[in-house]
Amino acid sequence: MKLFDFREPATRLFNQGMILGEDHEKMSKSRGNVVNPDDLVKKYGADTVRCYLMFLGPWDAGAPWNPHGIEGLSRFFKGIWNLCHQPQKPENIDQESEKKLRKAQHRTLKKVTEDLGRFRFNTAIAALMSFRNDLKDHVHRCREETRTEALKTMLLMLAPLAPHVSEELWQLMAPETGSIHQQAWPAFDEQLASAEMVTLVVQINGKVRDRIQCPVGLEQKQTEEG
Amino acid sequence: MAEYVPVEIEAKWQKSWEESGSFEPDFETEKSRYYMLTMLPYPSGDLHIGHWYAMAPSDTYARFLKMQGNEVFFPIGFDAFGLPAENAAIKNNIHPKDWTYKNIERMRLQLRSMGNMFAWKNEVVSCDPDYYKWSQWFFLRMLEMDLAYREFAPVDFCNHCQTTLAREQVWGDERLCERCGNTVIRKELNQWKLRITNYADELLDFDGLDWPERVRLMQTNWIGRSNGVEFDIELDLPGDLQFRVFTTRPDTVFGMTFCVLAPEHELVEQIVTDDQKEEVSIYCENAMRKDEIERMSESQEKDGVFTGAYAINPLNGDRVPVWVAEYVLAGYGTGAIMGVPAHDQRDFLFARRYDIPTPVVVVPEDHDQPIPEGSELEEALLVKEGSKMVNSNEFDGLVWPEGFDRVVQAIEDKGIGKKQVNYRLRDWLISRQRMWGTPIPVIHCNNCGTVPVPYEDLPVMLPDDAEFKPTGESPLKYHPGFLNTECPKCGGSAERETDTMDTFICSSWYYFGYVSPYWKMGEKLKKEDLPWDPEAIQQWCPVNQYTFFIFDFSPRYLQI
Repeated sequence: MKLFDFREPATRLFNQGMILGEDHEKMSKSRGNVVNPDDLVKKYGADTVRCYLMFLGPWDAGAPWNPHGIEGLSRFFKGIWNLCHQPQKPENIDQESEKKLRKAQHRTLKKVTEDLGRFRFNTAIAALMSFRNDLKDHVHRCREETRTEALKTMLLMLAPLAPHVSEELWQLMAPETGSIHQQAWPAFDEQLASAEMVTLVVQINGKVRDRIQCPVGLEQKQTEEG
Repeated sequence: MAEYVPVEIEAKWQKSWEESGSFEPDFETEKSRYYMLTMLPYPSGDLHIGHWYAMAPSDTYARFLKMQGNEVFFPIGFDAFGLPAENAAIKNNIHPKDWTYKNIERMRLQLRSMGNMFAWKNEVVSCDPDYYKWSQWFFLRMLEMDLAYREFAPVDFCNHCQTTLAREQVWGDERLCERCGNTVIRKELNQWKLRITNYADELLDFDGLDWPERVRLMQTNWIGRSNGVEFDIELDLPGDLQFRVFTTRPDTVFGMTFCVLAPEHELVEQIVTDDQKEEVSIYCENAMRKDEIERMSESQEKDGVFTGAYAINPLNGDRVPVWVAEYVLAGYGTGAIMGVPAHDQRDFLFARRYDIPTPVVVVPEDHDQPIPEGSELEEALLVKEGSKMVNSNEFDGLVWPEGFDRVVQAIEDKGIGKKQVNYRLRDWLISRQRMWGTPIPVIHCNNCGTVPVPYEDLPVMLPDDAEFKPTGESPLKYHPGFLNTECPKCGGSAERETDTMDTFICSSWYYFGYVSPYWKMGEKLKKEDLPWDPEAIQQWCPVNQYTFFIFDFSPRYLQI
C-alpha cells in the first residue's frame, strides 16, 4: 500500500524462551504446576519476582520455575537495604580495601553494561550479587566517599532491574538529585574495570603441564573450556 | 533502621511515578528515540507468570536504554477480540464486551504491579470501535487494491452446532467438535482472503534486518519457495486428455514409474475405468473429509487407489499407471505429480506399499559403477547437490544443476511445459463466522453485488445487545439491526457481511496504533486519511527492538 518508507515494522527481533513449571513441563491448570505471580508479589515484592525470573537462566533459553531460589534474591535485596541504611563508622581506613572496592565497582559496571545490552540478565544479576559481597567485605574499611560512590553505583545498576527498591534507597542516598530513573547510566573506567591477572597452573594427571595467565573471576566452566 | 517491606514501597512508587507521568515519553524530545515493543497481551483476566517472564526483561531493557540517554517509548495494550470472550458469553450469559473490559481493568492493575515503565497514555484496546474502524479501513483499502477477495474455501464445520470451527476447536484424530463431540466435516464456504502470496518473494528478502536465524528459517520454510518445472503428461486414452504436474526434480523424470492425482482432481472421474470406479469414489470421499495436515503428515501411511488409466512419460514414452492418493493436495502445485519412487521419500513409501518398481536415475557424482536397469532400492536415494543422471538416455552423466537445466530445456522445446516457481504460502483466510471480532465492512446487495461500506460510515459497529444462542452461531446473523441495511450504491435494502476478521488482523498493526492511539477519534473518515499521525510514525517507527515468544509452531498456522 506504500504507506511507509521502511520495509519491516521492526528492525531487531529478540526471541525469548518460555517459563516452564517446576516439573519442566508447560504450565497448565490440569498439571497443577502453575505459579501465580500475584501471590509471589505479595510475599516477596515485584522487584524480587522480576529479578528472580531474569536470574533463572538466559532469557532466550527459557527456564523451569524453581521455588527454592527466590528467597536468596529476597535476601540479596535485604542485604543492599541494610548496607545503604547502616551508618558509616569509619574505623581504620584500609587502602587495600578502598582499592579492591573501586576495582570491583568498575569491573561489575562494565559487566552489567555489556550484559544488559545483550539481554543477558541472569549474568548481570550474578555480577551484582558478587559486587554485594565485595561491598560487605570492604565497605566498613573505606572512606565515606568511596562507600557512597560504590553504593550509588550499585543502585544505578539495579534501577532497570529492580525499579522500586532502587528508587527508595536512592532517595536515602541522594535525595537532591530527584528520581533514580531520571539519572544517567554511569560510565566505567576501563583501566579499573580490567580484571587482574592470576597464574593458572594446568595439571594433567597430577603433573604440571603449563602455566597460563587468566583474568580473575573466570568461572570454572570457562577455564575448563579454555 | 527502617525495615525492607517491598509491598509498601512498591505501591508508593508506582503511584508516584504514575502521578508525575515520569514514564510517558516526551514526543517533542531532542534525544535519540528508541521504540521498544513487547507482545500485546490477550485480556484473559489474569496476568500469569508467562506475562511476567516476557515483560520484566523487556522493561529492564527499556529502562536501561532510557538511562543511557534515549527517549524510550515502551507501550502496552490489549489484543481484545477472540474466542474465549465468546465462549464465556455463551457459558455465563454475559456480553463479550463486558467480560473483556472487566478483564482489562483487572489486568491493568496487575500490569502496574510489575512496576513497568509503560506509556499508558498510548494504550490501545483492539476491540474499541475507534481502533477497529482502522482495521476496517485497512480492509477497504486492500479490497480496492484487489488484495482482499472472496472465494469458496474449505473450513471445519460442525453440522450439529451449525458453525465453523477454528482449527484448535477440532479435537484429536477423530476430529470431534469441542462443543458437542460430534464429527467435524470439511465444508466449502464463501470466505474472505488476503492475497499475501503476492508478497512471497519480498518476505524472503531479509536484507538489512537484524533477525535471529531461527526466525528467518521459520519464515523461509513457511513461504516454502521451490524452483521447478510444470509440464503436461498425456493419458494413454482416447481423446486429448492430459494433466499438468509440478516437480522440483526434472532431472529424475526418467525414474517416473507412476503418476498420482489428488482426490479432488477434476480428471479423476473422467479417467477412472469402470471396474475401479467404486473403489476410487469411496477413497476420494474419505480423503476429502480429512484436512491437509493429516494428509501430508509424515506418520500417515501413504495409501491410494489405482484409477485403471495409464499415462505416457513425455521424455521416454514409458507407459505408467495413474493413481489417486491423498498425499497429493489439490491446492499445492498442480494437484498432480509424477511418481519417482527412487528419489522421493513419499513416492518411495507409496511404491513399496504397492510393489511399484523403483529404478535409480540419479547417483552421487563419484559413483562409477553402472546401475543395471531394473535394480531395486532398499531406501529412497535423496541426493540432489552433486548428483549425476544415469539411465536417462541422452542426459546420462549430467551433474546437478546442469541436469535440471537441460531437462527443463527439453520440456520447453517440446512445448509441453515451462520453468515455474511454487510457494507453500497460501493466501490468508481471514473470515471468521464469529461475533466477537472486527466486522468485515462490506454489504451484500441483490442488485449491486458486494459493495464496500463507504469510508465515512466506518466503523461498522458491533451491536451491544446481541443474543448468544447455545448453538454457538454468530449472533450477527440473527441481529436484524445489524444485518439489515441499505445498499450504499442503489439505496435498496441489503444485508451486511456477518463474518468478522481473524484477530491476527487487529494485532498486525497495533505497533503503529500505539504512536498515535485513537487517531481521528470520532471523526468521519475519508479514504485519504491514515490510521496514524504521520509525523509520529516518522519519529518513532520502525520499532527498534521487538521481544517476543515463538508459539509452538505447528503447520496448522500455515493454513490461514
